[in-house]
Amino acid sequence: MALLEIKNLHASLEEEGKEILKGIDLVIQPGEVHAIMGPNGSGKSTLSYVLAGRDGYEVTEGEVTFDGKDLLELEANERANEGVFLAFQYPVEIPGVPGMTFLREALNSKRKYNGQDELDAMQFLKLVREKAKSLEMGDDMLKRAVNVGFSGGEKKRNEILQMAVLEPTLCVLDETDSGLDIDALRIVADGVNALRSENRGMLLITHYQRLLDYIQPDFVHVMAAGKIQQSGGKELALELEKNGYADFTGKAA
Amino acid sequence: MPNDMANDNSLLKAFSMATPLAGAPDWFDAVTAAGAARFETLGLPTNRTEAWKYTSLRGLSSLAFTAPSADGARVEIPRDSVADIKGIEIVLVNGRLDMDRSALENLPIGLAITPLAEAVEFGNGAVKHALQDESATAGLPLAALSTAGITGGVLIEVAKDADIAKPIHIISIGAAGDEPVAYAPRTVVWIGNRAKATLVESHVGVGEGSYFSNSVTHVTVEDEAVFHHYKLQNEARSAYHVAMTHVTCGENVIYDNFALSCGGKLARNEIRGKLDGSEILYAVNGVYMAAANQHLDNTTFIEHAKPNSQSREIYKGVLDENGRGVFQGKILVQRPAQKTDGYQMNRALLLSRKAEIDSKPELEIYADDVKCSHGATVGELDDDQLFYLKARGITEHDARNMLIEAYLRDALEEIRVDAVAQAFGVKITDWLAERAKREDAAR
Repeated sequence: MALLEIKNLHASLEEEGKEILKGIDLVIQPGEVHAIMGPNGSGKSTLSYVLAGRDGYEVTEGEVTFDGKDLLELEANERANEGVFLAFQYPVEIPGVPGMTFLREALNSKRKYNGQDELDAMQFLKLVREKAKSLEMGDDMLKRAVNVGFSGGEKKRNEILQMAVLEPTLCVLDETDSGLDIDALRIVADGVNALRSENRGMLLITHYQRLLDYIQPDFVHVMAAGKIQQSGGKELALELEKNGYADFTGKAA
Repeated sequence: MPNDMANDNSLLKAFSMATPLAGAPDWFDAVTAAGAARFETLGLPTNRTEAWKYTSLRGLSSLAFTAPSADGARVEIPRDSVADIKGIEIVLVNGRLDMDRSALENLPIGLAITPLAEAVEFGNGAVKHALQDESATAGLPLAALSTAGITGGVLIEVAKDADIAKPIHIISIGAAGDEPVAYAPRTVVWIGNRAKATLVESHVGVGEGSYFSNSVTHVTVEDEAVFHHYKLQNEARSAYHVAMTHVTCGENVIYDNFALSCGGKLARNEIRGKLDGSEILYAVNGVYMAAANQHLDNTTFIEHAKPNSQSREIYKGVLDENGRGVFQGKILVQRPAQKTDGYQMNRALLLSRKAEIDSKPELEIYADDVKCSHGATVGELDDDQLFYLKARGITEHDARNMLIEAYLRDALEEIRVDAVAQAFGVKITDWLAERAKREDAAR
């Protein structure tokens, strides 16, 4: 069974009624890493929001099946607890909510949802410290309020930490490489690569090929004007790097 | 209107009958008579009175208040409602000092707590000065009404250079019997030069009956003293609570006020501060949390009279169901008060479509070299933050609660005494738990 199966997905902005996704088809099998590349405004981020269940988008046609379940029927928090994780392009700052309280609440929500015992504060702290170490995140970072006082790179590392702790089966990474210098990119990429496994699927959304030097995808899709225009292996990314998106945006128009 | 007049008179009568200090010296009788006369002139304010535009006292008129009985109902202290502070306790029941349960003896060196009646009898200078101060009731009808029928209270004196580490804790309990009661507690606080002290007030109630607490507090902070002044207004939900605090600060003073309001049917907390010195740090902050049928009003007036002082004011409110909040903040900078630094902000979070907030910030500046800013925000919870939490598996309900709690707890940072911040934090948690219960019941 496919981990994720998107069929003819159409979605519009609820308020403006403007159609952003115009028929997306995509299948991700467990263990596969897919990259979606495309120019700004192609609908990449909208796809990630629609998968994660953000309000404000209306699915007008098509279906999304995750692990055999109708994903679109589920609330955002249910999707997360089922194993969908969205690493945000712009992680949100939440002053007043300690990062550790937040992450423990998230993990215990998932454990509760799946009928597991909740972790106590000590068990949780041990788990997080272990995962944080490889991402070079010290206690001083863990102590802060959610993403408050974090640099761009630290925010992205924090997303990967959350991913490592929550152990999702589908990771959607939205422009995770944006705003990272080369060292930060390496740390983040190492974190992501460490999470690759045979029962976990990944969807990397990116504008640039650079990220794909560090995280090698099994498949690359080019998205433009709300549709996947072409799919191929990782060599497609290199081609794009050379020729740009002009072919596709031209084709879409 | 004749009808209003009749109601005003019955209120005045309730308060005038209340005073257990009858038989006090002539000067005191003159003070109460002047209060009564002033209230008669001013009348109970209506919405046509600018200062009471957003807060209607109409509900008061429909209740036939009586003076609390002289024997002073013996009531248990409702510990769950009171701020959990290990302090030097002073207990008032229906505005009367409960001598047995108040710490009046064996106090730390430098601290004196005297029953108001006694201080009046001996003509204590600080009390006389406070009560005879015409400006404490001028244009202030409720303070005048309170003066007409002072039911009791204490004088708190902190000697110069004394550092009183343990907080002084006034617990004012409203306990109506079959009939609504009205009472008027009076507190006079005098903090000597370079002294340090903390006062916490807990205003609470027991039982279902309606009562009206109409208090006045006078605070004088002498040069270089530090006074932390915190108040929990957690009255019974059928109660009316009107409180006036007059603060006068000398040179180089730190005065730090924080008011947490969550009780009462209608409550108004008014603080009028006169910064009569330079290098003062004056802070009035607070949190208000209103649910169904509650009206919570915070009104402040800050007068910068001398140069180089700083005032800071941050209020944060959460209004749920048809709860209503009012914020009125005025900063007056007199001509000599150059280099004044004033900051004022009211933030309100509306959790329901029926909730309401009225904000009125006001600056009146006569000096030409000052830095003053004010602002008010009204909002709902942030959608991006909500989605971020939900995208990590947290339910909408829990996510909302986390954000409300964070928003409120953030305000507690303004409290400079940790034990008080903690005790007030518990009240925020309690309020949120109650809210969660309501939501669960509604689902």
